[in-house]
Amino acid sequence: MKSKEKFAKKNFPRKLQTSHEGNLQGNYKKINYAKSSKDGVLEFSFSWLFAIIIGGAIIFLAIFAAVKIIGLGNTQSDVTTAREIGIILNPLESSFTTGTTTSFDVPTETRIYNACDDLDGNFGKEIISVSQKNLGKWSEPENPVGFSNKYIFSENPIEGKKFYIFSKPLEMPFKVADLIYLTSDSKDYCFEEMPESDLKNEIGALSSSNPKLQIENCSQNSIKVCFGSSSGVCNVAVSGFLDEAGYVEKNGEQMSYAGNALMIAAIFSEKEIYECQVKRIMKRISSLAIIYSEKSKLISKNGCGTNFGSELINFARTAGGITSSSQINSIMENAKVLEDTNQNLGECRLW
Amino acid sequence: MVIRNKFGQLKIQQMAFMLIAVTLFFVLVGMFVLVYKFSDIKNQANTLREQNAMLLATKIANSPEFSCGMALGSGKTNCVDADKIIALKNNIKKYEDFWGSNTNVVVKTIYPKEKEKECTFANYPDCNVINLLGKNISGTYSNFVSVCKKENENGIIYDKCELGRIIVSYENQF
Repeated sequence: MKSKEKFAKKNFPRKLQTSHEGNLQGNYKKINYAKSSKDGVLEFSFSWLFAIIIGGAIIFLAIFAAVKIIGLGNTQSDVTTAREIGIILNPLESSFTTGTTTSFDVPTETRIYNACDDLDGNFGKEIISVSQKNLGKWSEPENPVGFSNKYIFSENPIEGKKFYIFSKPLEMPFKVADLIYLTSDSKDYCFEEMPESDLKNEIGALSSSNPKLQIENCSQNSIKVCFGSSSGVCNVAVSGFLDEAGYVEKNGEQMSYAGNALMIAAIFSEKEIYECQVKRIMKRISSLAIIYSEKSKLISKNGCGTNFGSELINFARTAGGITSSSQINSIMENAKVLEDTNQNLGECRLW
Repeated sequence: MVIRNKFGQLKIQQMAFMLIAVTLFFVLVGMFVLVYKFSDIKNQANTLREQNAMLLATKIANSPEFSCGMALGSGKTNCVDADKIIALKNNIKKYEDFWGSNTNVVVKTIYPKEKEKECTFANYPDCNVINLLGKNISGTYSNFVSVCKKENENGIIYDKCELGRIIVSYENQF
Protein backbone atom coordinates (compact mmCIF):
# COMPACT_ATOMS: atom_id res chain seq x y z
CA MET A 1 0.00 0.00 0.00
CA LYS A 2 2.90 2.30 0.82
CA SER A 3 4.39 1.99 -2.59
CA LYS A 4 0.93 2.74 -4.06
CA GLU A 5 0.72 5.89 -2.00
CA LYS A 6 4.22 6.98 -3.07
CA PHE A 7 3.34 6.43 -6.72
CA ALA A 8 0.08 8.36 -6.33
CA LYS A 9 1.79 11.25 -4.50
CA LYS A 10 4.37 11.52 -7.21
CA ASN A 11 1.95 11.40 -10.14
CA PHE A 12 -1.28 12.91 -8.78
CA PRO A 13 -0.39 15.28 -5.92
CA ARG A 14 -3.66 17.29 -6.12
CA LYS A 15 -5.86 14.25 -6.28
CA LEU A 16 -4.05 12.75 -3.35
CA GLN A 17 -4.62 15.80 -1.21
CA THR A 18 -8.38 15.63 -1.60
CA SER A 19 -8.80 11.89 -1.78
CA HIS A 20 -8.72 9.40 0.87
CA GLU A 21 -6.93 6.16 0.52
CA GLY A 22 -9.89 4.28 -0.87
CA ASN A 23 -10.06 6.56 -3.93
CA LEU A 24 -6.56 5.70 -5.12
CA GLN A 25 -7.79 2.77 -7.13
CA GLY A 26 -10.21 5.11 -8.89
CA ASN A 27 -7.31 7.43 -9.83
CA TYR A 28 -5.47 4.52 -11.44
CA LYS A 29 -8.54 3.76 -13.50
CA LYS A 30 -8.44 7.35 -14.71
CA ILE A 31 -4.89 6.78 -15.94
CA ASN A 32 -5.80 3.72 -17.93
CA TYR A 33 -9.32 4.37 -19.17
CA ALA A 34 -9.79 8.07 -18.53
CA LYS A 35 -12.47 9.85 -20.60
CA SER A 36 -12.16 13.29 -19.09
CA SER A 37 -10.09 14.98 -16.47
CA LYS A 38 -11.69 17.05 -13.88
CA ASP A 39 -10.42 20.22 -15.67
CA GLY A 40 -12.71 19.29 -18.55
CA VAL A 41 -9.82 18.30 -20.84
CA LEU A 42 -10.25 14.98 -22.63
CA GLU A 43 -7.59 12.52 -21.70
CA PHE A 44 -6.78 9.49 -23.81
CA SER A 45 -4.73 6.56 -22.89
CA PHE A 46 -1.87 5.75 -25.24
CA SER A 47 -3.64 2.66 -26.52
CA TRP A 48 -6.67 4.71 -27.63
CA LEU A 49 -4.48 7.32 -29.25
CA PHE A 50 -2.55 4.59 -31.01
CA ALA A 51 -5.76 2.92 -32.19
CA ILE A 52 -7.20 6.20 -33.49
CA ILE A 53 -4.04 7.15 -35.41
CA ILE A 54 -3.55 3.73 -36.96
CA GLY A 55 -7.29 3.32 -37.57
CA GLY A 56 -7.37 6.70 -39.29
CA ALA A 57 -4.37 5.75 -41.39
CA ILE A 58 -6.05 2.47 -42.41
CA ILE A 59 -9.29 4.23 -43.34
CA PHE A 60 -7.36 6.88 -45.28
CA LEU A 61 -5.42 4.19 -47.18
CA ALA A 62 -8.61 2.23 -47.85
CA ILE A 63 -10.39 5.31 -49.24
CA PHE A 64 -7.30 6.29 -51.25
CA ALA A 65 -7.05 2.78 -52.71
CA ALA A 66 -10.79 2.68 -53.48
CA VAL A 67 -10.64 6.03 -55.29
CA LYS A 68 -7.56 4.91 -57.25
CA ILE A 69 -9.20 1.59 -58.20
CA ILE A 70 -12.39 3.34 -59.33
CA GLY A 71 -10.24 5.77 -61.37
CA LEU A 72 -8.34 2.84 -62.86
CA GLY A 73 -11.63 1.17 -63.74
CA ASN A 74 -12.88 4.31 -65.47
CA THR A 75 -9.62 4.73 -67.38
CA GLN A 76 -9.72 1.07 -68.37
CA SER A 77 -13.27 1.44 -69.62
CA ASP A 78 -12.38 4.60 -71.59
CA VAL A 79 -9.31 3.03 -73.20
CA THR A 80 -11.18 -0.19 -74.00
CA THR A 81 -14.00 1.78 -75.65
CA ALA A 82 -11.50 3.84 -77.67
CA ARG A 83 -9.67 0.70 -78.79
CA GLU A 84 -12.96 -1.03 -79.63
CA ILE A 85 -14.04 1.93 -81.75
CA GLY A 86 -10.80 1.59 -83.69
CA ILE A 87 -11.36 -2.13 -84.14
CA ILE A 88 -14.95 -1.86 -85.34
CA LEU A 89 -13.73 0.56 -87.98
CA ASN A 90 -11.71 -2.24 -89.65
CA PRO A 91 -14.66 -3.69 -91.59
CA LEU A 92 -15.26 -0.24 -93.09
CA GLU A 93 -12.16 -0.79 -95.22
CA SER A 94 -14.13 -1.60 -98.31
CA SER A 95 -12.94 -2.29 -101.78
CA PHE A 96 -15.36 -1.03 -104.37
CA THR A 97 -18.54 -0.37 -102.47
CA THR A 98 -19.68 3.21 -102.64
CA GLY A 99 -20.22 3.52 -98.93
CA THR A 100 -20.88 1.43 -95.88
CA THR A 101 -22.46 2.39 -92.60
CA THR A 102 -22.53 0.95 -89.12
CA SER A 103 -23.49 2.12 -85.66
CA PHE A 104 -22.59 1.29 -82.11
CA ASP A 105 -24.19 1.93 -78.74
CA VAL A 106 -22.40 2.72 -75.54
CA PRO A 107 -23.87 1.93 -72.11
CA THR A 108 -23.39 5.43 -70.76
CA GLU A 109 -23.28 8.99 -72.13
CA THR A 110 -19.93 9.19 -73.92
CA ARG A 111 -17.71 11.84 -75.46
CA ILE A 112 -15.33 10.77 -78.20
CA TYR A 113 -12.37 13.09 -78.62
CA ASN A 114 -11.07 12.94 -82.17
CA ALA A 115 -7.57 14.28 -82.58
CA CYS A 116 -5.04 14.03 -85.35
CA ASP A 117 -1.26 14.23 -85.39
CA ASP A 118 0.22 14.61 -88.87
CA LEU A 119 3.81 14.45 -87.62
CA ASP A 120 3.74 11.11 -85.80
CA GLY A 121 5.63 8.50 -87.84
CA ASN A 122 5.44 8.33 -91.63
CA PHE A 123 1.68 8.62 -91.94
CA GLY A 124 0.68 10.63 -88.88
CA LYS A 125 -1.87 9.26 -86.45
CA GLU A 126 -5.58 9.28 -85.86
CA ILE A 127 -5.98 9.65 -82.11
CA ILE A 128 -9.13 8.67 -80.24
CA SER A 129 -9.79 9.14 -76.56
CA VAL A 130 -13.02 8.59 -74.72
CA SER A 131 -14.63 10.16 -71.70
CA GLN A 132 -17.68 8.62 -70.06
CA LYS A 133 -20.20 10.06 -67.66
CA ASN A 134 -20.19 8.30 -64.30
CA LEU A 135 -22.39 9.51 -61.43
CA GLY A 136 -23.02 12.76 -63.30
CA LYS A 137 -19.31 13.47 -63.75
CA TRP A 138 -17.26 13.19 -66.94
CA SER A 139 -14.09 11.13 -66.63
CA GLU A 140 -10.83 12.67 -67.83
CA PRO A 141 -10.00 11.58 -71.39
CA GLU A 142 -6.72 9.81 -70.67
CA ASN A 143 -4.55 7.33 -72.56
CA PRO A 144 -5.49 8.13 -76.15
CA VAL A 145 -5.35 5.33 -78.69
CA GLY A 146 -3.60 5.99 -82.01
CA PHE A 147 -4.15 4.43 -85.45
CA SER A 148 -1.92 5.09 -88.46
CA ASN A 149 -4.29 3.61 -91.05
CA LYS A 150 -7.53 5.40 -90.19
CA TYR A 151 -8.93 8.81 -91.09
CA ILE A 152 -11.91 9.85 -89.00
CA PHE A 153 -13.78 13.07 -89.68
CA SER A 154 -16.05 14.40 -86.96
CA GLU A 155 -16.73 17.23 -84.56
CA ASN A 156 -14.48 17.34 -81.54
CA PRO A 157 -15.64 16.12 -79.07
CA ILE A 158 -18.63 14.24 -80.30
CA GLU A 159 -21.14 13.31 -77.64
CA GLY A 160 -23.97 10.79 -77.39
CA LYS A 161 -25.08 7.28 -76.52
CA LYS A 162 -25.35 6.03 -80.07
CA PHE A 163 -22.74 6.72 -82.71
CA TYR A 164 -23.04 6.30 -86.46
CA ILE A 165 -20.11 5.62 -88.72
CA PHE A 166 -20.06 5.52 -92.48
CA SER A 167 -17.24 5.54 -94.93
CA LYS A 168 -16.45 6.51 -98.47
CA PRO A 169 -13.42 5.51 -100.51
CA LEU A 170 -11.11 8.29 -101.61
CA GLU A 171 -9.52 7.86 -105.02
CA MET A 172 -6.84 10.27 -106.14
CA PRO A 173 -6.25 8.84 -108.77
CA PHE A 174 -5.84 5.37 -107.22
CA LYS A 175 -7.70 4.31 -104.10
CA VAL A 176 -5.99 5.94 -101.14
CA ALA A 177 -8.13 5.11 -98.13
CA ASP A 178 -11.64 4.82 -96.83
CA LEU A 179 -12.53 8.08 -95.15
CA ILE A 180 -14.61 7.51 -92.04
CA TYR A 181 -17.33 9.93 -90.93
CA LEU A 182 -18.47 9.80 -87.34
CA THR A 183 -21.74 11.32 -86.11
CA SER A 184 -23.82 10.81 -82.99
CA ASP A 185 -27.50 10.71 -82.06
CA SER A 186 -27.21 14.25 -80.67
CA LYS A 187 -27.07 16.01 -84.08
CA ASP A 188 -29.08 15.72 -87.28
CA TYR A 189 -27.64 16.77 -90.64
CA CYS A 190 -30.00 18.09 -93.28
CA PHE A 191 -29.08 17.52 -96.97
CA GLU A 192 -32.46 18.67 -98.28
CA GLU A 193 -30.90 21.29 -100.53
CA MET A 194 -28.35 19.01 -102.13
CA PRO A 195 -28.79 18.92 -105.93
CA GLU A 196 -30.19 15.69 -107.30
CA SER A 197 -27.17 13.48 -107.87
CA ASP A 198 -25.70 10.07 -107.21
CA LEU A 199 -24.32 11.43 -103.97
CA LYS A 200 -27.79 12.49 -102.78
CA ASN A 201 -29.09 9.00 -103.60
CA GLU A 202 -26.16 7.55 -101.72
CA ILE A 203 -26.88 9.67 -98.65
CA GLY A 204 -30.56 8.75 -98.97
CA ALA A 205 -29.60 5.08 -98.94
CA LEU A 206 -27.37 5.60 -95.92
CA SER A 207 -30.15 7.44 -94.06
CA SER A 208 -32.16 4.22 -93.72
CA SER A 209 -29.55 2.91 -91.29
CA ASN A 210 -28.43 6.34 -90.10
CA PRO A 211 -31.55 8.44 -89.35
CA LYS A 212 -29.35 11.42 -88.47
CA LEU A 213 -28.67 11.98 -92.17
CA GLN A 214 -31.80 13.55 -93.58
CA ILE A 215 -32.53 14.31 -97.21
CA GLU A 216 -36.15 15.41 -96.67
CA ASN A 217 -38.43 16.55 -93.82
CA CYS A 218 -35.49 17.82 -91.83
CA SER A 219 -35.92 18.37 -88.11
CA GLN A 220 -35.91 21.97 -86.87
CA ASN A 221 -32.66 21.73 -84.96
CA SER A 222 -30.77 19.94 -87.70
CA ILE A 223 -27.54 21.29 -89.13
CA LYS A 224 -28.50 22.67 -92.53
CA VAL A 225 -26.07 21.96 -95.35
CA CYS A 226 -26.52 24.33 -98.30
CA PHE A 227 -25.13 23.92 -101.82
CA GLY A 228 -24.27 26.71 -104.21
CA SER A 229 -26.29 29.88 -103.78
CA SER A 230 -29.07 28.49 -101.58
CA SER A 231 -31.30 30.95 -99.79
CA GLY A 232 -32.19 30.61 -96.13
CA VAL A 233 -30.24 29.72 -93.02
CA CYS A 234 -27.14 27.64 -93.61
CA ASN A 235 -24.93 26.11 -90.97
CA VAL A 236 -22.60 24.62 -93.55
CA ALA A 237 -22.21 26.09 -97.05
CA VAL A 238 -20.70 24.11 -99.92
CA SER A 239 -19.35 26.11 -102.87
CA GLY A 240 -18.25 24.25 -105.95
CA PHE A 241 -19.42 21.31 -108.01
CA LEU A 242 -20.09 17.83 -106.73
CA ASP A 243 -17.24 15.40 -107.38
CA GLU A 244 -15.01 18.32 -108.38
CA ALA A 245 -12.98 20.83 -106.41
CA GLY A 246 -14.53 23.50 -104.19
CA TYR A 247 -14.68 24.63 -100.62
CA VAL A 248 -16.88 24.18 -97.59
CA GLU A 249 -17.57 27.09 -95.24
CA LYS A 250 -18.35 26.24 -91.65
CA ASN A 251 -18.17 28.38 -88.52
CA GLY A 252 -16.64 31.15 -90.62
CA GLU A 253 -13.76 28.95 -91.79
CA GLN A 254 -13.04 27.56 -95.24
CA MET A 255 -11.93 24.04 -96.05
CA SER A 256 -11.00 23.17 -99.63
CA TYR A 257 -11.98 19.80 -101.05
CA ALA A 258 -11.48 17.74 -104.16
CA GLY A 259 -14.02 15.04 -104.82
CA ASN A 260 -17.12 13.92 -102.92
CA ALA A 261 -15.31 11.97 -100.21
CA LEU A 262 -13.39 15.04 -99.05
CA MET A 263 -16.44 17.28 -99.42
CA ILE A 264 -18.42 15.11 -96.99
CA ALA A 265 -15.37 15.02 -94.74
CA ALA A 266 -15.31 18.82 -94.61
CA ILE A 267 -19.06 18.94 -93.83
CA PHE A 268 -18.74 16.67 -90.80
CA SER A 269 -15.39 17.79 -89.57
CA GLU A 270 -13.78 20.67 -87.73
CA LYS A 271 -11.22 22.66 -89.70
CA GLU A 272 -8.28 21.66 -87.52
CA ILE A 273 -9.04 17.95 -87.86
CA TYR A 274 -9.80 18.28 -91.58
CA GLU A 275 -6.52 20.05 -92.37
CA CYS A 276 -4.51 17.54 -90.37
CA GLN A 277 -6.23 14.54 -91.97
CA VAL A 278 -5.69 16.02 -95.45
CA LYS A 279 -1.95 16.24 -94.73
CA ARG A 280 -1.97 12.61 -93.53
CA ILE A 281 -3.87 11.51 -96.64
CA MET A 282 -1.32 13.30 -98.84
CA LYS A 283 1.47 11.36 -97.12
CA ARG A 284 -0.37 8.13 -97.90
CA ILE A 285 -0.88 9.21 -101.54
CA SER A 286 2.83 9.96 -101.76
CA SER A 287 3.75 6.55 -100.39
CA LEU A 288 1.29 4.70 -102.64
CA ALA A 289 2.59 6.59 -105.68
CA ILE A 290 6.10 5.32 -104.87
CA ILE A 291 4.77 1.76 -104.54
CA TYR A 292 3.05 2.06 -107.93
CA SER A 293 6.22 3.46 -109.50
CA GLU A 294 8.14 0.42 -108.24
CA LYS A 295 5.38 -1.85 -109.47
CA SER A 296 5.70 -0.26 -112.91
CA LYS A 297 9.44 -1.10 -112.90
CA LEU A 298 8.65 -4.67 -111.84
CA ILE A 299 6.01 -5.39 -114.46
CA SER A 300 8.08 -3.79 -117.18
CA LYS A 301 10.22 -6.98 -116.97
CA ASN A 302 7.13 -8.86 -118.14
CA GLY A 303 6.71 -6.68 -121.18
CA CYS A 304 4.52 -4.08 -119.50
CA GLY A 305 6.78 -1.11 -120.22
CA THR A 306 4.61 1.63 -118.76
CA ASN A 307 7.30 4.32 -118.61
CA PHE A 308 5.17 5.80 -115.91
CA GLY A 309 7.56 5.71 -112.96
CA SER A 310 8.97 9.25 -113.19
CA GLU A 311 5.49 10.83 -113.37
CA LEU A 312 4.46 8.90 -110.30
CA ILE A 313 7.59 9.96 -108.43
CA ASN A 314 6.85 13.60 -109.26
CA PHE A 315 3.26 13.12 -108.10
CA ALA A 316 4.54 11.57 -104.85
CA ARG A 317 6.80 14.58 -104.33
CA THR A 318 3.97 17.07 -104.94
CA ALA A 319 1.55 15.23 -102.65
CA GLY A 320 4.16 14.92 -99.91
CA GLY A 321 4.71 18.68 -100.01
CA ILE A 322 1.07 19.67 -99.40
CA THR A 323 0.74 21.79 -96.28
CA SER A 324 -2.87 22.94 -96.53
CA SER A 325 -6.15 21.86 -98.08
CA SER A 326 -6.08 25.01 -100.24
CA GLN A 327 -3.37 23.30 -102.38
CA ILE A 328 -5.52 20.24 -103.01
CA ASN A 329 -6.73 21.48 -106.38
CA SER A 330 -3.27 21.04 -107.91
CA ILE A 331 -3.15 17.44 -106.68
CA MET A 332 -6.52 16.77 -108.25
CA GLU A 333 -5.34 18.14 -111.60
CA ASN A 334 -2.22 15.93 -111.48
CA ALA A 335 -4.33 12.96 -110.45
CA LYS A 336 -6.60 13.42 -113.47
CA VAL A 337 -3.60 13.37 -115.83
CA LEU A 338 -2.23 10.21 -114.16
CA GLU A 339 -5.63 8.53 -114.34
CA ASP A 340 -5.86 9.20 -118.07
CA THR A 341 -2.36 7.79 -118.62
CA ASN A 342 -3.23 4.71 -116.56
CA GLN A 343 -6.46 4.11 -118.48
CA ASN A 344 -4.48 4.20 -121.74
CA LEU A 345 -2.17 1.42 -120.53
CA GLY A 346 -4.88 -1.17 -121.13
CA GLU A 347 -3.94 -4.55 -119.66
CA CYS A 348 -0.78 -3.10 -118.18
CA ARG A 349 -2.63 -0.55 -116.05
CA LEU A 350 -1.17 -0.13 -112.60
CA TRP A 351 -4.35 0.32 -110.54
CA MET B 1 1.36 -2.26 -9.29
CA VAL B 2 3.77 -4.35 -11.29
CA ILE B 3 0.92 -6.61 -12.32
CA ARG B 4 -1.23 -3.63 -13.46
CA ASN B 5 1.66 -2.28 -15.62
CA LYS B 6 1.96 -5.65 -17.28
CA PHE B 7 -1.78 -5.66 -17.98
CA GLY B 8 -1.46 -2.22 -19.57
CA GLN B 9 1.47 -3.31 -21.73
CA LEU B 10 -0.38 -6.42 -22.71
CA LYS B 11 -3.41 -4.40 -23.79
CA ILE B 12 -1.26 -2.07 -25.94
CA GLN B 13 0.42 -5.12 -27.42
CA GLN B 14 -2.96 -6.71 -28.08
CA MET B 15 -4.16 -3.54 -29.77
CA ALA B 16 -0.96 -3.26 -31.82
CA PHE B 17 -1.20 -6.88 -32.96
CA MET B 18 -4.84 -6.42 -33.80
CA LEU B 19 -4.09 -3.28 -35.82
CA ILE B 20 -1.22 -4.98 -37.63
CA ALA B 21 -3.53 -7.90 -38.39
CA VAL B 22 -6.26 -5.57 -39.67
CA THR B 23 -3.70 -3.62 -41.77
CA LEU B 24 -2.30 -6.86 -43.21
CA PHE B 25 -5.81 -8.04 -43.97
CA PHE B 26 -6.62 -4.87 -45.88
CA VAL B 27 -3.27 -4.95 -47.68
CA LEU B 28 -3.87 -8.56 -48.75
CA VAL B 29 -7.41 -7.80 -49.89
CA GLY B 30 -6.12 -4.75 -51.77
CA MET B 31 -3.38 -6.78 -53.43
CA PHE B 32 -5.89 -9.46 -54.40
CA VAL B 33 -8.18 -6.84 -55.94
CA LEU B 34 -5.28 -5.24 -57.82
CA VAL B 35 -3.99 -8.58 -59.14
CA TYR B 36 -7.53 -9.44 -60.29
CA LYS B 37 -7.95 -6.02 -61.92
CA PHE B 38 -4.60 -6.14 -63.70
CA SER B 39 -5.10 -9.67 -64.96
CA ASP B 40 -8.45 -8.49 -66.32
CA ILE B 41 -6.76 -5.57 -68.09
CA LYS B 42 -4.14 -7.89 -69.59
CA ASN B 43 -6.83 -10.30 -70.82
CA GLN B 44 -8.81 -7.45 -72.29
CA ALA B 45 -5.74 -6.02 -74.05
CA ASN B 46 -4.93 -9.43 -75.56
CA THR B 47 -8.55 -9.98 -76.59
CA LEU B 48 -8.60 -6.60 -78.33
CA ARG B 49 -5.32 -7.38 -80.08
CA GLU B 50 -6.78 -10.71 -81.20
CA GLN B 51 -9.99 -9.07 -82.44
CA ASN B 52 -7.98 -6.49 -84.35
CA ALA B 53 -5.93 -9.22 -86.06
CA MET B 54 -9.09 -11.18 -86.89
CA LEU B 55 -10.88 -8.22 -88.48
CA LEU B 56 -7.69 -7.08 -90.17
CA ALA B 57 -7.26 -10.53 -91.74
CA THR B 58 -10.74 -10.36 -93.23
CA LYS B 59 -10.37 -6.86 -94.63
CA ILE B 60 -6.71 -6.10 -95.26
CA ALA B 61 -6.86 -7.67 -98.72
CA ASN B 62 -9.10 -4.79 -99.78
CA SER B 63 -6.84 -2.03 -98.52
CA PRO B 64 -5.05 0.08 -101.19
CA GLU B 65 -1.59 -1.38 -100.50
CA PHE B 66 -2.81 -4.94 -101.25
CA SER B 67 -5.91 -4.89 -103.43
CA CYS B 68 -5.88 -5.81 -107.11
CA GLY B 69 -8.08 -2.85 -108.01
CA MET B 70 -8.88 -2.67 -111.70
CA ALA B 71 -5.32 -3.65 -112.63
CA LEU B 72 -5.96 -7.37 -112.37
CA GLY B 73 -9.45 -8.18 -113.56
CA SER B 74 -12.42 -6.01 -112.85
CA GLY B 75 -12.28 -5.05 -109.22
CA LYS B 76 -12.48 -8.36 -107.42
CA THR B 77 -12.79 -8.42 -103.64
CA ASN B 78 -10.32 -10.48 -101.60
CA CYS B 79 -7.83 -10.29 -104.44
CA VAL B 80 -4.29 -9.19 -103.69
CA ASP B 81 -1.81 -7.80 -106.20
CA ALA B 82 1.47 -9.67 -105.63
CA ASP B 83 3.40 -7.19 -107.80
CA LYS B 84 2.24 -4.34 -105.60
CA ILE B 85 2.91 -6.27 -102.38
CA ILE B 86 6.50 -6.98 -103.34
CA ALA B 87 6.92 -3.26 -104.10
CA LEU B 88 5.39 -2.59 -100.69
CA LYS B 89 7.89 -4.99 -99.08
CA ASN B 90 10.62 -2.89 -100.63
CA ASN B 91 9.24 0.15 -98.77
CA ILE B 92 8.13 -1.66 -95.64
CA LYS B 93 10.16 0.47 -93.21
CA LYS B 94 7.57 3.22 -93.69
CA TYR B 95 4.78 0.84 -92.82
CA GLU B 96 6.09 -0.47 -89.53
CA ASP B 97 3.25 -0.28 -86.96
CA PHE B 98 0.87 0.87 -89.71
CA TRP B 99 -1.53 -2.04 -89.09
CA GLY B 100 -0.95 -2.08 -85.34
CA SER B 101 2.10 -2.49 -83.19
CA ASN B 102 3.79 -5.89 -83.38
CA THR B 103 1.52 -6.99 -86.19
CA ASN B 104 2.90 -8.75 -89.24
CA VAL B 105 1.27 -9.62 -92.54
CA VAL B 106 2.26 -12.62 -94.65
CA VAL B 107 0.86 -13.50 -98.07
CA LYS B 108 1.31 -17.12 -99.04
CA THR B 109 0.39 -18.96 -102.23
CA ILE B 110 -1.07 -22.31 -101.17
CA TYR B 111 -2.23 -23.77 -104.47
CA PRO B 112 -0.59 -25.06 -106.64
CA LYS B 113 1.38 -26.54 -103.74
CA GLU B 114 5.10 -25.90 -103.92
CA LYS B 115 8.00 -25.82 -101.50
CA GLU B 116 7.84 -22.59 -99.48
CA LYS B 117 10.26 -19.96 -100.72
CA GLU B 118 10.33 -16.47 -99.29
CA CYS B 119 10.14 -13.61 -101.78
CA THR B 120 12.57 -10.73 -102.09
CA PHE B 121 12.69 -8.05 -104.76
CA ALA B 122 15.57 -10.03 -106.35
CA ASN B 123 13.98 -13.51 -106.59
CA TYR B 124 10.40 -12.40 -107.35
CA PRO B 125 8.31 -14.01 -108.95
CA ASP B 126 10.07 -17.36 -108.36
CA CYS B 127 8.77 -17.61 -104.81
CA ASN B 128 5.51 -18.09 -102.96
CA VAL B 129 5.72 -16.43 -99.52
CA ILE B 130 5.82 -12.65 -99.00
CA ASN B 131 6.62 -11.95 -95.37
CA LEU B 132 6.13 -8.21 -95.19
CA LEU B 133 7.81 -7.32 -91.92
CA GLY B 134 10.00 -10.43 -91.82
CA LYS B 135 8.91 -11.18 -88.25
CA ASN B 136 7.76 -14.46 -86.76
CA ILE B 137 4.94 -13.56 -84.42
CA SER B 138 2.86 -16.04 -82.44
CA GLY B 139 -0.91 -15.51 -82.73
CA THR B 140 -2.29 -15.70 -86.26
CA TYR B 141 -5.52 -15.19 -88.17
CA SER B 142 -5.85 -15.81 -91.87
CA ASN B 143 -8.18 -15.44 -94.77
CA PHE B 144 -8.25 -17.02 -98.21
CA VAL B 145 -7.46 -14.67 -101.08
CA SER B 146 -6.56 -14.79 -104.77
CA VAL B 147 -2.94 -13.86 -105.25
CA CYS B 148 -2.66 -12.29 -108.70
CA LYS B 149 0.23 -10.96 -110.78
CA LYS B 150 1.10 -10.04 -114.35
CA GLU B 151 2.80 -12.83 -116.30
CA ASN B 152 4.17 -13.03 -119.78
CA GLU B 153 4.04 -16.20 -121.81
CA ASN B 154 5.28 -16.18 -125.38
CA GLY B 155 4.85 -12.42 -125.52
CA ILE B 156 1.27 -12.55 -124.25
CA ILE B 157 0.67 -10.66 -121.05
CA TYR B 158 -1.97 -12.14 -118.81
CA ASP B 159 -3.17 -12.04 -115.20
CA LYS B 160 -2.10 -15.12 -113.25
CA CYS B 161 -4.15 -15.76 -110.13
CA GLU B 162 -3.50 -18.48 -107.56
CA LEU B 163 -5.15 -19.50 -104.33
CA GLY B 164 -3.45 -18.01 -101.32
CA ARG B 165 -3.79 -17.01 -97.72
CA ILE B 166 -3.24 -13.66 -96.13
CA ILE B 167 -2.04 -14.20 -92.59
CA VAL B 168 -2.12 -11.50 -89.95
CA SER B 169 -0.02 -12.34 -86.92
CA TYR B 170 0.09 -10.41 -83.70
CA GLU B 171 2.04 -10.62 -80.51
CA ASN B 172 0.51 -11.06 -77.08
CA GLN B 173 2.36 -8.44 -75.14
CA PHE B 174 1.71 -9.87 -71.67
